[in-house]
Amino acid sequence: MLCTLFSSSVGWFSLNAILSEYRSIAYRAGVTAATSPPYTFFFEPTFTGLSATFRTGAPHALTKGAVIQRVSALHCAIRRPNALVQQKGHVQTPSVSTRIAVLRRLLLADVDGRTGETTKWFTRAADGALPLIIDVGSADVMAALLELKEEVEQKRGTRMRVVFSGAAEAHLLAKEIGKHIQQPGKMVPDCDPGRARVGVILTPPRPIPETWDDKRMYVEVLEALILG
Amino acid sequence: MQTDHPVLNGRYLLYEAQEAYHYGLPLQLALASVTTAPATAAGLSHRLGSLRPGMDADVVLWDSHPLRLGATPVTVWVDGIIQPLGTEISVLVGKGKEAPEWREPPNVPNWKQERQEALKWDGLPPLEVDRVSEVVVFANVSAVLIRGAEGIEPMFHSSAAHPGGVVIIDSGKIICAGISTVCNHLVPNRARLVDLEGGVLAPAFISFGSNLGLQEIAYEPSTGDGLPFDPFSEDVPGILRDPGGIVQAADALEFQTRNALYALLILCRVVLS
Repeated sequence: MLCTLFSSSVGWFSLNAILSEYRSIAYRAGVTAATSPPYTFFFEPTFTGLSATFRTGAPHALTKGAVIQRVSALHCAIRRPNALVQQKGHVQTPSVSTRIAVLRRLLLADVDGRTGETTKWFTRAADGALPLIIDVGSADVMAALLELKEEVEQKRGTRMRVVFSGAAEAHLLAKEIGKHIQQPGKMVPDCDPGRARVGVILTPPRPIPETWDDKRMYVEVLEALILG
Repeated sequence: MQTDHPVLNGRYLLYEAQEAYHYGLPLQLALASVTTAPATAAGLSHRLGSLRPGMDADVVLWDSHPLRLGATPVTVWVDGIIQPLGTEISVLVGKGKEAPEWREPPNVPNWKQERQEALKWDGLPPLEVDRVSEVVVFANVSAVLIRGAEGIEPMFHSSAAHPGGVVIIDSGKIICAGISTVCNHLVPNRARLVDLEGGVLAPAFISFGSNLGLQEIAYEPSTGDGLPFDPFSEDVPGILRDPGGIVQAADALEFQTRNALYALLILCRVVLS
């Protein structure tokens, strides 16, 4: 199959379908790498964990280039409970404010000799050394998180790298999220001032207001993308 | 009809018919699967599912053939009444779809090789990555896109004067990308030639946020990493010495799962959707 050309250094695939739609070969290749957070199928913990980026075609983890980045980002989720999601152990879901309170504590905690993975990775996220990817749908929660980001950056003198994923209602805060991209702020020395520090990953590609958090989603953005 | 919405988004319904058509369901059956077949199954075929005198006047006017990806309703009538759909939509529907080919069903593969392999392997043919050691030459390339400083940018574009570009790739690197007079003399004697039929070469996709590499079969815990501890609803085991229970996906990565290989070999159709 002609599109399965693949090498360890550059992955190429035929993009016929995007320009000329269904062509017989266009569906044969495409995703050569994946960034996956720890497994959370139908279970939404607040702390998802640390994602890894790997080659989808590698035979095993020890082949050269199989794991592109062992730790790509720190993932967490701040959402109101999904009626369809089973809660582990039937324990009540923690409130949004509880989740953000814990996030605030972890991001503001000074390195005071405490050990443990949680302190280590949240400190790195607070310092902007590791992207913090927050699965969030509601614009209200995003606003609270932008305030938290500001607070952490001012108190620590750092610049965080935050990404909202899911982000169905992000269009309502486009200006405010954009401000965080433009704002010079206080830089840590190795930060490029021009680089964005709040990214948005709209996912799934065609959203559905399955939860209350996503109810003000903006579907036309995606229709515009589809229609070019 | 309906899917098990919202587990499988009901808005994908037409897309499923498009997919079925792409994978070999005859055109009329693919359209029937979202019109007459569900109406008959629901016992409502005397009113719904087809356009005939006496039926309910529920009609959709599409901006392109409904089995083409991205087909979008221009006008919807329910009981003969035009719906307010479109009155507040700022997006121009049907833009760029003026050419007559948009009224035609899309071309689909013949799947001959895949049918044979499916029979040979009892439905589960091996998903092997075709690694090539020889030089690969792409002909009839309309454009090459690469990752630049500002994102994806064109490296080469064919033009009316010079249609059909040539791209030579050796050991994963582009040796030459341009019109045939520029690149042809660099083509070695032994090379794999691929006719792209006017297609585009672009950087591969990166999947984000899925369970790829961490589970093989949904709902079957024995095929995946298992669930992490949630410190908000239970105590993380003391032996972890970490009350937050932060774990690394890299420690549980599985390779050669069918899902990952499908993503590599096939999944771009979902991205395109």
